Amino acid sequence: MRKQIIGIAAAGLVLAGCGNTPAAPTQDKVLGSSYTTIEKEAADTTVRMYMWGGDDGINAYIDEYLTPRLKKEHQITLERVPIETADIIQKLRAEKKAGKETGVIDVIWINGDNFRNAKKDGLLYGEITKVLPNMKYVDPQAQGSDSGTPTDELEAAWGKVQYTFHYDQASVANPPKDLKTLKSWVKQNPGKFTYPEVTDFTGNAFVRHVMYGVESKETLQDPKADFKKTWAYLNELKPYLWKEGKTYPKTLAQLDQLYAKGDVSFTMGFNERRAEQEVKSGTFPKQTRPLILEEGSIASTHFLTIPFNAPNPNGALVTINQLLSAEAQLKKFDATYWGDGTSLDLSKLNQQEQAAFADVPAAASTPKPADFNGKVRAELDPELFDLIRKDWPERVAR
Amino acid sequence: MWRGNAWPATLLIAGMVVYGLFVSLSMTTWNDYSRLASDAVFLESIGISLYVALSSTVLSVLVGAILADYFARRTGFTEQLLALPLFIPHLGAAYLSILYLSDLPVIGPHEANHLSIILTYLYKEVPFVFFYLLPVYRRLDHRYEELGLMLGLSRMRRFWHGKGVFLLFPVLEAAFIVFAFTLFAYEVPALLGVTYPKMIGVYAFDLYTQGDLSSQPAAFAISVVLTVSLLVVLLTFTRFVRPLTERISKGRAE
Repeated sequence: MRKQIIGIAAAGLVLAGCGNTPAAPTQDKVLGSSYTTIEKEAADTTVRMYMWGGDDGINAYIDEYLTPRLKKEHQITLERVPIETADIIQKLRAEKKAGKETGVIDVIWINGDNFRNAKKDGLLYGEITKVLPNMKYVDPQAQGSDSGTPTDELEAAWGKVQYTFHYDQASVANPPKDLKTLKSWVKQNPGKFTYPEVTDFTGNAFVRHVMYGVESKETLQDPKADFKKTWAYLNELKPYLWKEGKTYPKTLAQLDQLYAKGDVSFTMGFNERRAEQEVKSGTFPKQTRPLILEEGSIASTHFLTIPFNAPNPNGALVTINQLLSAEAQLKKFDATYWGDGTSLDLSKLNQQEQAAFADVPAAASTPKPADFNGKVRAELDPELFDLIRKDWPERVAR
Repeated sequence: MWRGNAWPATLLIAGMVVYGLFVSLSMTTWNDYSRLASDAVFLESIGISLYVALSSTVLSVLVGAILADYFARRTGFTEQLLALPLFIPHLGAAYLSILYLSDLPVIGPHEANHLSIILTYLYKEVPFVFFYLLPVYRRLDHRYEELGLMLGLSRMRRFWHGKGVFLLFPVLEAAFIVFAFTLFAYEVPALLGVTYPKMIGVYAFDLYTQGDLSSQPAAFAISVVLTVSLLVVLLTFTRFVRPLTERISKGRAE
């Protein structure tokens, strides 16, 4: 009997040993090698890309363009995992705490306070942009800082977008121009406007636009200030919002659904071109038009990075480099899939590539470049993201 | 009734609860609890969660028990229809109510009275209570009530001695399971609930995940408070109510 137990235990140990995934190559070895070596190591591997999955166009860009391209050119199998970015950070924190050296995530789509938190907690792989050949095309302005947090080469700028409102011209005859006329429009058309609650990335940014419009420069610099003018403005809107402001869409995807059904007349979001493919596919109303408030539009850069315990860092680096190529960025800029602003400095591309970018047509739902003149605003301190999440439920939603 | 070995499952679940409780306690200080007591957002959230959980529990136990009483006296397969909702997960049920209740005024999702949440829970928990109580009803011995009639007991006392004593504990068990689940669940209120006040499961999850780590101790404190309160209720049931019903059914107490 005892022998049997020992036998079973030994078998268990052997099995447990086999179950362990092979350890990922060490960080200094990967980042110390040449890109040619990295490419060679990456062939015939699987890369898992964890990213927010709430937009069909973005998902199609990855699944229909990037995945076959990586397979063909680098023999890399790409798996896209749709997940909220904050949940990725949560997962990595737990893995770090548990000492899990080899995780499951290879590439993360990230920016803003999620990047700040990941950097602060040491959840990122290292100075990855140093080894990527295509970094030479990336706009240094976009690459330098992520909403005020220095990127320190931990992440690579993937796209650059402007916050834009979209409205249905069929139901909004005289579109508002600034926060003041927006408020009077909302009062005259009760139930036809709302914004996502502030746990949502886009809803939080809507409140930051109100801050830009109603608070003084000094207040905006001070995350400890009392933003009473912002809360007052939002409270004035509240009774005239969708469902009388008793509830808000939980996510941007929910707001988009309300807009698509015609329940509300406005939607909003980072990315000035995001309505193009929604209109084309018939989801959004045909007469969807853009709106940039006089008070300005926050510019946002979004990034790609690799977590500290990526099982396949080589494959992750090749994937990111591929996404920074002129061709991939052009496909992303084109509204067929996504219509996302490029993070590249176009003047660094060759003539042919520059012409291709210039030739991408813009639909009626996309603002003209001149619409942003003098209206581009820098992202506010990430601490304000937290402040809004903490104070808005008590000061506005309650 | 199933009489298998329940120990492995008990050990596993108890281990998870005890470990979770231990981790949560180690992440909190006394201050986190006293802050909760004066946090208006938390108190409103608990209030609305108790309202939803109590209404869902009372209604699903009532309806489930009435159905079980009715079908226990019949043979056939009609009652198997009630098993259908059991195959649809809570998440699926929540989407069903978004699909079918969205355009109904007052009842639809995202209404402050939370009727859509309560209806979703009824849809899921009535069958649960029904199948939980059906074997109990089937095993009731009708001769007790007949005996009561012969002895000239009042209607109330006949019901109590003939059925009530045997039903009390199983009903409380079913009610406790439904209550504990609906009080702290996440999916259904996350999909159907309002922005403010959030039900406690959603509120705690938001505190746990959002922004920097600064709100996490509050989330842990909430889970400790809820777990401990539910354990106290459970203990009261098993230590006091069960022995009492056993003594009554053996005729040692009224």
